Order: sequence, then structure tokens, then C-alpha cells
Amino acid sequence: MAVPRPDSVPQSTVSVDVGAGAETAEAATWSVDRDLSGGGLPGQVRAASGFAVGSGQVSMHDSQVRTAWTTSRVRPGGSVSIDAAEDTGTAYSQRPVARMVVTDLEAPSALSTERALTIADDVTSMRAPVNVPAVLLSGTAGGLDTVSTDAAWLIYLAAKAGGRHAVPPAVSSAILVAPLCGYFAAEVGATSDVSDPGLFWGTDASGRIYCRQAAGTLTLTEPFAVGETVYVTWTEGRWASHVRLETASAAATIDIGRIGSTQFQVSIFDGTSSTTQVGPWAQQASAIPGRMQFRIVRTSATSTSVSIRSSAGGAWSSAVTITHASVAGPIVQSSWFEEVSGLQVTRAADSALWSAAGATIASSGSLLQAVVGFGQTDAWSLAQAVAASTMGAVWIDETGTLIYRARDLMRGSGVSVGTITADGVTDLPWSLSMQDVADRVEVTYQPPAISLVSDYSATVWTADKAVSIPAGKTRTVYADLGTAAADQLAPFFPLWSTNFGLAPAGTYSRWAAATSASGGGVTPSDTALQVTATRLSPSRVRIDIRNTTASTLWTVDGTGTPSLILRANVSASPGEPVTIAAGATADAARNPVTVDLGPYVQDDAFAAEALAWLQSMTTAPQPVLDDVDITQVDMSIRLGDVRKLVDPSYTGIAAKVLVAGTHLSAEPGSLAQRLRLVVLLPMFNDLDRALATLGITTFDQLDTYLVAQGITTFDALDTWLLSLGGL
Amino acid sequence: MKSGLWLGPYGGMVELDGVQAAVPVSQARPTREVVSLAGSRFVQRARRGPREWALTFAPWGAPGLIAVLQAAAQGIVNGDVWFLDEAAARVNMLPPEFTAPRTMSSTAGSIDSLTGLPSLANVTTGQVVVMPLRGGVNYRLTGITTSTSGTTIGTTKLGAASAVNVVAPAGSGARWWSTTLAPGSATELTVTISVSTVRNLRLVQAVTGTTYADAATVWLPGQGTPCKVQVVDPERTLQQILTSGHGRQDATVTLREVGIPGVI
Repeated sequence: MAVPRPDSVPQSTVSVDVGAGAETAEAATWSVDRDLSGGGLPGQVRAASGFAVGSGQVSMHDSQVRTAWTTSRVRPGGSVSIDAAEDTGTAYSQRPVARMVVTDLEAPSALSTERALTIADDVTSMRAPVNVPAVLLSGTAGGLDTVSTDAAWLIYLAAKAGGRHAVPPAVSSAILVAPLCGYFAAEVGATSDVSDPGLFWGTDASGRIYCRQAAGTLTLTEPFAVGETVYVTWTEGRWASHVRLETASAAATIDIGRIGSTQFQVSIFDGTSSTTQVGPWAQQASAIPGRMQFRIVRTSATSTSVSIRSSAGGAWSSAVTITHASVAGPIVQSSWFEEVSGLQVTRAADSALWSAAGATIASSGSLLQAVVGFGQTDAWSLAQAVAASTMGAVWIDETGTLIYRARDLMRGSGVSVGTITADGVTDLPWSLSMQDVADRVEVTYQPPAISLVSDYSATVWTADKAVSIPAGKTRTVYADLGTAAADQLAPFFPLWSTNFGLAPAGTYSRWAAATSASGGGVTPSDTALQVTATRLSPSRVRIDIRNTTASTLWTVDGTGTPSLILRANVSASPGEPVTIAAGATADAARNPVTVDLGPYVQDDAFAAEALAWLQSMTTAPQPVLDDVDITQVDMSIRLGDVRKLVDPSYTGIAAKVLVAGTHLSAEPGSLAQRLRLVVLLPMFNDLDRALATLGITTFDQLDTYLVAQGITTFDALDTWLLSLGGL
Repeated sequence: MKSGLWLGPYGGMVELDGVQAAVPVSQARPTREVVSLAGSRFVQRARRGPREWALTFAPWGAPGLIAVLQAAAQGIVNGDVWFLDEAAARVNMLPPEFTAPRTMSSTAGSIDSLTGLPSLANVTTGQVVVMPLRGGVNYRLTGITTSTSGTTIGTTKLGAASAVNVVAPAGSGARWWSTTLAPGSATELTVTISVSTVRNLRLVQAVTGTTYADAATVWLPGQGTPCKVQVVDPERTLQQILTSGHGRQDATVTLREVGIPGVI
């Protein structure tokens, strides 16, 4: 990254809409602030997580002298764009500073043409309500288990409710849509045969969540027959991402993906053998990094042609045409793909498939076995709550995109993006405070109560009213499970039947019937009622009851008690909070800290790790550096960056720091940048990297090195380890 | 005595008479200075620095001499008020930002053999600059180009007349080109550069007739004249009231450069 020239001429552009469309403003001054704060965590810990909504001011000269009463009126509410360039010597390339909206507009004096605008990130759309649906995915492959959902999916829902899409939304011609942003099931299309392979969700180099491998089968809403063309679009998480489309039971498959930086591969299995061919591919200009679109043309039962492109309206690559043994059946599903997010199979090459992402959401690492009882909340509150619970941070960045970054990056596990030295700052004021030191840390989290059985003995719902079904008719009952969810519903048997010993009492869904509402009368036959249950959603089941006899039946048992019981193999309901603690005992603690992670953390390992980290961050005061003025403005410094701060002469600091607050301002002839930095403790992979840099691979070498550095006491070793972040 | 300083709307400029020699010109370019912890100084500057001229009319200028200044200060002139410094117009009339862009293709730099000065970067393709010209005066537009002989490197347009192509001269490599303009009446000159191979732009006014202060193969930095100005109300020192005719007074007038250069 080039530094600005020592005698520099910075430039900035402000474009604002004050009621007459976007126009370039004659700005006198502007300033933009972003600060990560909030989240309900103690001060010095809070600094490394939380949320930020940017705000600022613009003072401009209105040459048309419009007021609130002139014919062309000015009004707030329009959008503002600010870009700035710091003059590194090459041609000016302005970088985004803000994409905000004008919230207030003021004219300080009727005599002047100056207009003072107050601007802020647009989170109004994020006040939209979001109803978190119940999620319970379970599968039997490898043993009955629930398939985890990453908590980042909740942030994906919140961003979507606020109009910020992490992956392109479903287009009208789609026959399969699977956003794969933490939740495996398809949005358009059916999901079945899920199993939990582990290592499910990853974060790619751009900070986006993706699905490592398929955990089940996604079925298209319509079959893809011979003679038709479909477009398959997705964003790749890592190299070698590919998708396999299949005929029923995967008898024949088409596997497409990108291999290498200049090729794509098509592999067709026709039932007995497979043919693989490779075609040329080039990343097209103006492409969205990682997004690709394949066009599959089933020319005939024995010939399939595939081409690829990487930008909206871009040219298709030369096609790969494979001639193979007859595959006459329609393609109906996909049960295998790797390193994919935002998957859509569509009948038309809709340009909306190339829309830019309005949110960049990383995988949080907090796996949820079931999502139950979350109800309805507003999008921004949900995003903040999940970010705080997962020890991550959520903010709106300089381009107006919603960013969620998970705890590892916020704690500095990544490689530093750049180094700040004494020549790069005007001063390094620092402070320490005893206010946030705690001697006991308690973490509360709320795993759901999950019941996994193999004999359909988990009771999920019982009727409280009898249903009367006239002869030969069908009645429908909707079972609302409330805050609970169920999967793998049991088939219905009569209350008194054991199905030849296969369905002992207390298992399987049960119905009972009588010819009178008070019970009594002859026991109906085992086939008197035909009852089927359909799972509309994890917490709502439709039960259809058909009366096959010639007389009206009531669903009551012999005593007149309503008797319709729904059972399943998998059920989940909100559980009891679990509290884990570290440090002094509850009686001896004088300064305890309690953090409630809520239902957004369900995994014991995650909670234990959060506890360990919180404890390490609160046993001793941690330094914070407020108001660090940067001498040579670096427009590439963003909120949430992890950088090295090395200053051996004045403060002795050599550590990784997190940019927890940025302030950019411009006046005539000046572009100023001020940061709030939080010092990060070194992590294990810092030690790894430091040893690799020093060329140390054995304990003997480490020994020799430490002696050579004069490190012979534990105190000296301590100091050396703490300085690793600066290496 | 004529001063070579003109004031008024560009279609009606009046040459100021009796200006006292030694006119101070100050330039106020906004800057910010920061000093790092280690003591290094870094400076940021604005792209333009508006100028101020302090004209003194002494001793005893007659009211007729400062009439145009007073009318301009009173804000009653029909049109924007422009200020032209003929000496600067013989150097280079273009505003500095249009003679060459600010960019650094190499830290070492080099000497331009054609000008004898450090080489400047090429003008940005599509650059448009609009300058007012007076009628009855000859002007010369020059620059250096590396374009192939015969290709069009830009256009000049006087007022509403159609654009005239500027063509790269015969020869190859870096060489000077020049074109002359002689508007019959005051008009706007629009200069558009349509290639990326032109550098060291210069527009000068003739001394008299078609004689210029130097050859077409010289480049001097842009002076940005004429420019729009604000005329601050003159400070006057009343001297004498004569029994017949007008009274006498000394006057000091400050002219402050305003507006965006290169547009009208």
C-alpha cells in the first residue's frame, strides 16, 4: 500500500440528494465517525465486540440557494456518498468513506448559503420485524441426530428483513434456491435425508459464510428434462467448489465446478461410467468475486453441453459438450456439493442473480441444534443480540454493507493487515482502568431441550378437544406446537393396538374413537379412522382424519376424554439456562461479571471457550488507546481491522491492535484520520507464526533462541510471549 | 498611465489607470501540518489557493479612474466581474490544474529536454477548460505531443462557432505544437484535449499584434488569468475638494479571487 506523499493534496467528493436527485455537493467540511460499542459486555471487553452505526456531518454551500420554502425545496432523507483519496502519487483513486442518509438539514442563517447536514447509516430498514421460524432438521444417516444451524443464519435473516441480502434473493424462475448461510434447508425446493457430517460451515477469504458439504438432498420444484436448459448460479467458498445435479436416486449425475484459475470441469455419470471434460474459463471484468453461473443444455438424451461465465451479461465461455450413454430421465435433485453458498437453479439467466451483496456475514462458530421459541423481534436488535452472544461484531461499513465478523477475527486470529509505527501517528495516548477487572466470570447460555428417540416415544402434542367426523368425511386439525418443534413424526395407530408387538403402548402417534361423544359403545375397528400427519413447519402439523365407517365418530376414548396424541422421534423445546463460571467462588467474589449469551449459544464447547476468553480479558486491566491521530492518512484502514502497532522507543508497545473506532474528517486542504485502538492479546497461532518466521521447528532451536535473547527467567519469557503479536 | 491590469465583465473590460507600482499579491492556500511522534512533518494542502491583489490609487485618483472599481464593489455591474493581469497573460493564462495533472509516475522523475524543466505528466483525456478571451487580441495555444503526425489531439471552440481540430504536427516523438486564435469580439474559448499524449499546455496573449513575449517552444507555469474576483469596497482617503470639477481622493482596493477556475 503506497503511503501519501509528505506534501500531499488530498481530495474528496461528496454527493448528496437534498430533494432533487443525487448531485455533487460543494462541501466545505465533512466528518464521519464509526465506533464499535455496546453489546452488554464489560468495557474493555466490549471494545472488541459489539456493533457500530456510523454517523457524521457535512457542511455544504448550496449555489442554488434552496430553502424549505422555495419552489425547489430541500428536504432530508436522501442519500449521501462520501469518497476520499489521500494522494499517494499515482492518479487519484477515491475510496468510499460513507454511504449514508441525511437525517437532519439545517440552515444556520438566512443570510448564508451554507447548509449543515447530519448524516447516519441507514438502519431504518433494519427496524423491520423478523419472525424467526422454528428450525429442527434431523437425519438418520450415521445415527439419529439433529443437523446444526450456525447462529450466523439468524443475522442473515435479520439482514434480509432489512433489505440487505447476503446472497441474491430467489428469482421468479428459480426451481431450487438454497442460500446456505448457516442453514442447510432450501428456501425454494424440498429438503430431505439430512445428516450431520461435522465441519459444516466455513468463512471464505472475503468474510462470507459458506457450506462445506451437502448434508442431505435438495429436491427441485420442477424436473429438468431432456431438451431443456437450466442456469446454476452460486458463490464459491473455497477452490474446487462444485455442484452435482442428479436424476432420481442419483442414478445418473452431472457434476459441474471450477478447477484451477483458468478451467472448469464437467463430469457426467450415465449409470455405468463417467466422462469428465475440462473447458476454459476466465474471470471476467466487473465480476462479483467468487460468483459463477453455469448453463447446462440437455441437447438430447445422449448429449449435454455446459458453459460458464462470471459476470452479469458477460460472454459465455466455449461450451464443453459430452456425448454419453442415454440419460433419458429428468434431473430432480442435488445431494452433493462442496464449498458453496447462495445456490440457485433457475430456468432463466435473470440479471438479479448478479446483484451485489448488501451483507457480508461470517460463520459464527456457535452451532444451534434447534431454533425454537425465538419469536418475533426487530432485525437490528436480533443482529446485535446474536453478535454480542457469539462474541463477534456487527456494523455497517464504508460502502453501506452490513458486516458480521466472528469472534476469532475480532480477537486477532488473522494476519495483520498492516503495521502502524511511531512515524505513522502524532501521539499514542493510552489508559488502563480497574473498573472492568472481575474476579469471577459467569456465563449463561440456553441449550434447547432435545429429545432423540428411535421408537417414536416422544410425545409432541395431545388434543384437548374431541373432533367429530361424520361418516365417510375427512376433518383437519392443525396442531400448533407453540415454542416447540418436532421432526420425524410417527405414523398413527389406534390407542389399543400394538401392531403385533411393533408398537408397544406409549409409542407411535395414537388415535381413539367412539360412536358417542361421551365414549362408550363398541370399540371401532383398527381401520375406522385413517389419520395422517403432515409437517407444515417444525412447529405446525396438519392432521387429517378420515372416517371410513358408516356412522359419525368422535375422537374420544372409552371415558370420553379427547384422545389424539402426536408423537415423534425428534422434538425440541426451549431449554433451561445453564450457567458456567470461572474465578472465585460466588461467596468470595467481590467484583463478579455476568454475561448472558441467551439462546444464541447452545454448544457447551463454545460457551466454555467464551468463558475462558472473558476470564482472560477481565483478570487484569487491558490498555486502550483512544484518539490516535494518523499522520499519513491511510484510506485502507477500516473498522474491525487487525493491525500491528510497533513502537519500541516511546511506549514499548509491540502488539496486535483492533481498530475499534474510526473518525475521518475533511476541511479545506486537510484530510484527518483518528482511530481508537484496542490491544489484543497474542493467540496461539501468533506463537505458531512467530516460530515459523524465526525458523524454529524443534524445542532445541527454541531453547537456543531464548538463551540468545537473554530470556532466562519466566518473567522475561512472559514479556517475550506478550510481544509476539508485534512480530 | 496604463497598468496592464483590466477589470470588468469579460465582454467589457476596462484598463485600470494610475495604479501605484508594487502591487502585492497574496495567495491563501489552506494547509494542515502534522508532526509525528518521531518528529517527521507531514503537510496536506488544498488543490487551489485563491489570490488577493491590493491595488493602490495614489496620489489623488479622480473619480473617473476608480468608477469601474466602485461599480463592481457596489455589485451593480451587469455580469460577473473578471480581473486580467496582462503580464501574467503573457506567461500562461491557463489555471494551473489544467496545464498538467498532479500525478507521480516515478519517484525519480526526469528532465524534459523540450522545456528544460522537470517533466510533467500528460493531460487527462477529455479535459475541458473554458477561458474568456477579449476581442481584437491575438492568442496562442501551445503544448507538447507524442501523437502521430496528422492525428487530432483536441479541439478549440470560440463561442458558438463550430469546434476546430488541433492536429499533431509533422515529425515523430515528442514535439511542440501550436495554434493561434484571433476572436473578433469578446468570447469564450473552450479547449478540449481528446488524447492522452499531450502535456505542458499553455495559452498566452500577444504583446501587440502577433508578437508574443517568447517563442512557441517555451513553457511557463499557469497563472490563471483572467479570473473572477470579488471587489471589496475601496478604502478611500479624501484629499481635496476643488472649486470646479471633481474632488480628489486616494483609494485602496482589494480584489479577491472567487469561483471555480476553468469554467465560466
